[in-house]
Amino acid sequence: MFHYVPEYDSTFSLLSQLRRQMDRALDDMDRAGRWPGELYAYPLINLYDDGNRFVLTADLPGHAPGDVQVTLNQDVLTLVGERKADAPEGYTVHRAERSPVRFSRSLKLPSRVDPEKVEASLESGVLRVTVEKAAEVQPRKINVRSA
Amino acid sequence: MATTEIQKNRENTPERAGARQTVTPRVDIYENREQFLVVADLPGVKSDDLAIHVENAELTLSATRHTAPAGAEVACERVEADYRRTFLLPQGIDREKIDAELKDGVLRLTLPKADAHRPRQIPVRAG
Repeated sequence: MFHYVPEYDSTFSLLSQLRRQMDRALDDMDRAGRWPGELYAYPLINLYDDGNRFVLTADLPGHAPGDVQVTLNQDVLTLVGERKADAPEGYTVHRAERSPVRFSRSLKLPSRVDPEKVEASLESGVLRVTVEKAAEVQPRKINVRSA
Repeated sequence: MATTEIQKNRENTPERAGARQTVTPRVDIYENREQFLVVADLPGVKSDDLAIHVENAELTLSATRHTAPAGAEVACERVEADYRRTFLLPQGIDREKIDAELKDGVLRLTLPKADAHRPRQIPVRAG
């Protein structure tokens, strides 16, 4: 019924409120002029469902095929890779927006897949992974009989 | 929602015909005694789809990405877009010798300085 709220409690709640507001303001500043997902995820991924298979594309400019690893564990696809700094020697840097990056991203595919039928290729900076769906989830055509 | 209402909504928010988003590619810019070097990330761009224009003191990169979606979209973080970025060229660039190389989705653009604008060491004679 009767609660004594010490003075210092409200002091801290005010402080944490201020901290939250500051965090939010700084987050918004960071986000200006970029892709919505870019701040939180690398690489950006598109996933398509082609009926019999899934096709994943990811933007990986400047990554050599040897520096990107694709692994499939059950229905979880993982991309791991690295892009090393490629700044040339003996140059003054005026602008550096392309930072070296090391990434790991996993995603769960929406259905079971056939681990034997996976293909990955890297062409002009875009990774393309094709994963065939497991036989039991392949779309099936049902014949309609006339009664 | 009544049909007339849906119709009205559609008229108030029409689709934009043929509008594609334009994205600013990320670049690094370097300079040494002989040249400027511009490195730009252009994933998904082939050399035929990339145009580099020099006009007055401006250099413009523009590139189109041709990628047909491979089926129904499940997740889409990157919308299909064109790349475009304009730079103001410093004085003393030898425009005839500008060179561009596109590899693995990364463009390397070399802009050599004209001979008259290169730094020069003046030898000092003993008098």
